[in-house]
Amino acid sequence: MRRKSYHCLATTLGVLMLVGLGLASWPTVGQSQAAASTAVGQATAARAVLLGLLGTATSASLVSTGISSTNSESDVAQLTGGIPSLLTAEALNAATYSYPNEVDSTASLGSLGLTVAGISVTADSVVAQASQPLGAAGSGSSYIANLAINGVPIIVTGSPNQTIPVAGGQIILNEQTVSSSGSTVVNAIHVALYGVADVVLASANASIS
Amino acid sequence: MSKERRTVAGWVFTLFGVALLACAVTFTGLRVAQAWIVPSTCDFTTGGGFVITDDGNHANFGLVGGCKNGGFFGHVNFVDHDTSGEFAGLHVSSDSIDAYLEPVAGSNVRDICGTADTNLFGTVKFRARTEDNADPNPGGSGVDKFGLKLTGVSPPYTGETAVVITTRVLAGGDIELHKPNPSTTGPSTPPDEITACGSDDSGLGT
Repeated sequence: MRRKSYHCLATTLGVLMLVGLGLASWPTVGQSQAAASTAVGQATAARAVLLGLLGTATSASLVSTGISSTNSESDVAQLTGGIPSLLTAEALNAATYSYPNEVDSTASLGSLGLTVAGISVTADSVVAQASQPLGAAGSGSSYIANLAINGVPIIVTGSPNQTIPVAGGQIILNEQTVSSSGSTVVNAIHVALYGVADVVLASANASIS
Repeated sequence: MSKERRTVAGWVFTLFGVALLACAVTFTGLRVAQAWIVPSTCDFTTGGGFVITDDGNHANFGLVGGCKNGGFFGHVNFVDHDTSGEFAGLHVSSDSIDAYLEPVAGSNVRDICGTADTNLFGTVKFRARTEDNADPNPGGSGVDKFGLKLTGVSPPYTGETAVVITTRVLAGGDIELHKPNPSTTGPSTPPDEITACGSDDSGLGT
């Protein structure tokens, strides 16, 4: 009877020790992830580079903001805006924000009207979003409503890097660049006309490492 | 009447009153005012897109709103493309965000309230309702919701309220309700809903 009690006590103590060891080695939330050393976010409603005949470049951007640390936020907006002789838009919006272990950015604009080198691009709404967690793959998305190129409606698939050839270049929809070093860039519409112009509409950039 | 009997009678009358009120609400559709509060663990919302107005035109919006470092932050812009009616060509551009509210804990609905300039009604208090339901299709239509209500604070519109857009699904764009981070803390003293938003949410819809 006494031996049985000792045996029971020893078993109980052993189990308790094992549980204690297990709990001590159990990774707690937050401890398993290293702290971020760099966190950068950038959001831009519209950005354009126009190339001149002699290799000169003129750049302009509308509603753009950025952050460079964790637990930060920045947002800018404009009711209406445009770049003369190039584009007009409404409700331009850009925001970027960070967590201890993640950076997210978003940019949007409405009633887009763009004309460059004889190519017109219109859309009712353009949105880009990028999200980059620390130590994991980033992700992004774009939402483009009622897109038309030279008046022809375009079916937006939602797939990354949908490419539409145009005279002198191409237009990329939902352009995504996700790097292994912790950076995600999403451009909702990227108009690349070689040697003439490079225009990005709704750009979201998030990186953390 | 003994003290015990008076107490019992009081309880009976109270229960009868509560039952009567419940019946009135049930059968008359009487609306009980809903308390909107700052989210207990505060967060923030971003969005951009457009809705179709009652007259069939586009209305564009862009917004950011939420809590930050013991206060509120963000902006709301709105452009109405109606060509007739009282909101034809309305522009709304926020000056300050004065409240960020949710109806009940765990909801995906947020109201962003503040002060704004308009081209038709002078300075107003606004209440922009957002609802993040799911990731939309590539065009962004049909799931998330947006609504807008204004209250005039400039003569001759002082105190007048108008629902510009009853809450409805987006025709394009996206609204995102973001998770909290350590800096998304609200004020220690919550704002008064009517002061911050100009009015309650009646007529704004869901």
